This record gives sequence, C-alpha cells and structure tokens, in this order.
Amino acid sequence: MAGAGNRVLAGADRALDLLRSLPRLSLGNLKSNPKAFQQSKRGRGRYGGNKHGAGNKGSGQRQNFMRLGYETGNNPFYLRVPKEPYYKGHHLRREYPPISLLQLQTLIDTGRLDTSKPVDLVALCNTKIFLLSPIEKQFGFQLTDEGLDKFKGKVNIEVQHASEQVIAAIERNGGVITTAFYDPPSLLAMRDPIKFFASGIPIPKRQMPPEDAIEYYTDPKNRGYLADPDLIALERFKLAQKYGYELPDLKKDPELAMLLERKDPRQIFFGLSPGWVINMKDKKIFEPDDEKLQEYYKS
Amino acid sequence: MSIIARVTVRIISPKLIGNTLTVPKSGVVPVSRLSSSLTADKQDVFKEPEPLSTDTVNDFEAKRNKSRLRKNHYKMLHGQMHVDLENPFFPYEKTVIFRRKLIAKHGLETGINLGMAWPTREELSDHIEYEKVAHPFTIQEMVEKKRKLREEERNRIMERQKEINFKMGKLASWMKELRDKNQKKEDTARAAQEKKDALIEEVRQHFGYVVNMKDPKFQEMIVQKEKEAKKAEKELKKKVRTERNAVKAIAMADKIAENESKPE
Repeated sequence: MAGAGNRVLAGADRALDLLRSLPRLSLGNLKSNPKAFQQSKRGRGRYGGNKHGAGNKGSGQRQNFMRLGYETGNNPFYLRVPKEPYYKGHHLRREYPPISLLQLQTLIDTGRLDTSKPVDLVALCNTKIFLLSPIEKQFGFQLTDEGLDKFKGKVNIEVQHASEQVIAAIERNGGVITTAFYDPPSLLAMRDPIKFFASGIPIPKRQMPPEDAIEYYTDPKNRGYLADPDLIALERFKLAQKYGYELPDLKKDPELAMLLERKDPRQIFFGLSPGWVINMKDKKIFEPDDEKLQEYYKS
Repeated sequence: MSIIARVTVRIISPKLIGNTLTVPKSGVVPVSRLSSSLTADKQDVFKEPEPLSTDTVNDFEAKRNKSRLRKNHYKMLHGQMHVDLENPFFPYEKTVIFRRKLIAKHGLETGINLGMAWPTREELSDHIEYEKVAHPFTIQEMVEKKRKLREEERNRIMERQKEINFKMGKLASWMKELRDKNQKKEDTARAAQEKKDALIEEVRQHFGYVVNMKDPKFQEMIVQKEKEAKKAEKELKKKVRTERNAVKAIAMADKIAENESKPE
C-alpha cells in the first residue's frame, strides 16, 4: 500500500497478490516432468478396440497412408494452383498516410494547429482530422507537395517522410523540418495520449529504425533525426542554392529556441522521458526509483 | 409513525377435559406485557423510536438514490472507485493490468502500490533480451553495413564498366581479325575449288570428256601430275640453289679480293 514511510516493493506486493488468488497446491494441479511417462496410443478394450480408430478397408486400415495433399491420382489442389506471389512481404511494407502542404496551410490558417509550438505526430493526431492506424502498418505521416507554391507557414514540423521539394518549401519560409521514425508501440501511445495515460503503463522507449529505413533517417538530405546537425545545415544551404531562394537566417529569428526544439532519439513526447507514468487524475508524474529501471529507460 | 395494533384480549374460562381442570397458557396475557398504547394514561404521548445511525447526510443521500442500481454500478457511473481491493469480486480485479488502470483513473486514493506500473526484475530482463534479439546492431553498425554494401555495389559496377570499356576498345581489332579469318577461309576454299576445277579441266582436255574424280583414270592422271610437279619443283629448287651459290661465291671472291688488297 502506498504510504509515507512504508515503501513496499511492487514485486513483493504482486507475489502476495498471487498467493492470495491462486488455489491450494494439490495432486490435481501438479504436472509431471515433460518425459516422465509416455502416453499410450493404441486403444485397448471395449471402445478403444475393435478397429482401433483405423476405419474400414482402404489405405487407412491397411496402415499404408497416402501423403498429405494426395488426391488418389488427380492433380492435387496444392499443385494445381500456381504460385502467385503478389503479396509477398506485404506485411513488411510500411505505409505513410499523406498530409499535403495545402492541408497544413489550412490548419494553420484556421487555427487548428498551433505553430508557436513544435508540430509532431501527436499534434497532428490531436487535430482529430488525421487518423493513424498502426495496426494497418501505418508508421506515421508523409508530407506531400500539393499546395507547395502557396505554402507560407513558418513551422517546426516533424513527419516520417518528406520529399526534397517539400523540405525546400518549409525551409524557404523560415521553418524547420525533421523526419523521424517511431515504432508501433510508440505510435499507439502517440495517436491518443490521454487514452495511453489512462492505461497506466510507463512511457515506452522509442526503438531504432529497421535496417531498410536506417539509411533514410541518417541522411542529412532527408533531414533525418539521426543525421549530423552540421551536415543538415550544409544541406539546407545547398537546397536553397538548388531551388533558388534566399535562405532565411534562423539566428535572427525570435522563435529560434522553439524552432530548434528536437526530441531525443528515445523520446516520444516533448518534455516527457521514457519510463515516466503520467497520472491525469492527480496531475502527477511518477518516476521509477530503481537503478536498473532507470538504466534501462535511459539506454 | 406509530402503528396502533389491535389486541384482542380474550377471557378464557377454564375447560373441563376429563376430570382435570385445565387452563390454556396462551390465553392469559399479563397486564405488564400489553402495549403502552393500551395501558398509557394519556393516549397522545408517543415515544419516537431511536434512530439506528447518526449519519444523517449519507442516509439522506441513500434515500435520495432511487436508481435501484447496485452500489458498484452506481459508483462506476459516477466515476468513483468501485472496487474493493481487499475483497475483489471478479478475478480480473486482482490482475496487474487492471490495477494499473485503477491507479490511472482514480490516482492515489486507490491505495495501490504505484510500483505496479513498472516491470519486475524478470520482466525487465525479458525486455532487455527481446530488444537485444530484435535490434542486435547499433546505429553505427547498421550504417557501416549499409555503406559497405553500397560501396561494394558501386565497385562492382565500376569494375564491370572498366571491363566493358576495355573490351570495347579491342572491338575494332577483333572485328578485323574475324573478317580476316573469314576472308582467309573463303580464299582457301576458293583456291582449293579452283585448283580442283583446273585439274578437272586438264584431265578433261587430256581425255576429251569430264572424268569423275573417283574414276581410277583420274587418279592415275593425278599421280602422273604429281610426279611432274615434283620434278618441276626439284628443278626450281636446284635453280634457286645454284643462283644463291653463285651470289655467295661472288661475295666471297669480293671479300678475298678486299683482304688481299688491304695488307698491300
């Protein structure tokens, strides 16, 4: 029980709970060692006997069984249909539902997105306009170039994929764009944070991208969150040259701190670390005291 | 609220059952046992019954609650803690997942140990092992691997291109060689054919008609021809040799003449 000078370990509590709820040990709920005895297969006596489950005549009773799938000579089903690997590896393909720059501009103009704070997946899901379904292999949002010419918003945005011209469009207006990877458990936490906090689970660690995505997120050209910031600055400069716009000097920007705000590679929410439990009822944050847990969540 | 009960007082006379005198015990009601309402001097003084509880507020609320819901359900509806942790009703109320949700919903008032939220030692070691297996490489290792792969690919392509360029450079000479070879083949074939034709022509001239190659006459003719050819060749060789010797002799003579003239 939680109390001031009475710090009881959670593990002990759970063990005691188990003891209270489990039934008494008896012969009825004990299990033998795996190969302590062999199950007898052949039926004996009254109804286990007679034909012993082998039926009448045929290959079955004569114990000369046909191979699985054999259809007594005609072309069997498993050979009849040719292999058509249209969906091979479909479960490994990641989806990034699109958000156009036009939509983004509309959100900013109508006040549904607050650009005075960094915009990430959480902010986009909180608008309740975009629904993310991690179960359907959706790994985040991608920013598309529709409405690129009319885009005028200055925003610190974090998406999961963006093409070169989109990056240029955002940087031209003095904004900052980052591409970041989130694994499915993190996504489930992010798309509805209130619901996640209601489950009472500590904030998970964000995992690293898989091998086929690591190149994308370490490339400064894509403004990857794992790329070297100096190289990113260089790429910013190069992009401005390529697309022919004057690169705005961020150092003179009053919102510099907000624009440079970025998450740690293991962080999911701005301002919250992995391992914390957020309690919405008492408006409190609980952190683990244990060294091993702290070590785990900080690694 | 007072209920005035009707009490009928029956006066029972002793009965004669056989020879004995019997009086039923139930019939007699002593005066002290009668209700105060009947024995009271003043009928309008009533004593109110003592209340069972002093908690007037809750009682009032309880009386107000006409929902006929179960206590648990009423609490659930009003977002209150509906679970008695010491006497859990359902088996799921004892689970860790449920306890975590309770803490999240009702906070510290639940009295549950907050440590429930985090994994135990064994669970933590399981998590660490899982992560090690699922993500065995660090970012640097993965990047290095990819870089190597890309480099290998690039090298492979470059090597192939180099090879192709080299071979393309040689293409002209190969084509020429091929053409020459073909030409030579053609020439030799043509020469042989012409020779054969010439031979046939000669034999034909000799015999007066076209003789089949396989005919013995033809073979004889050929043998004769060969002999003649050999002779001619020998003569030619002799001629060449004598000429060469002559040239040599002249050269020698010149040399000797020189040598003789020098010391002089």
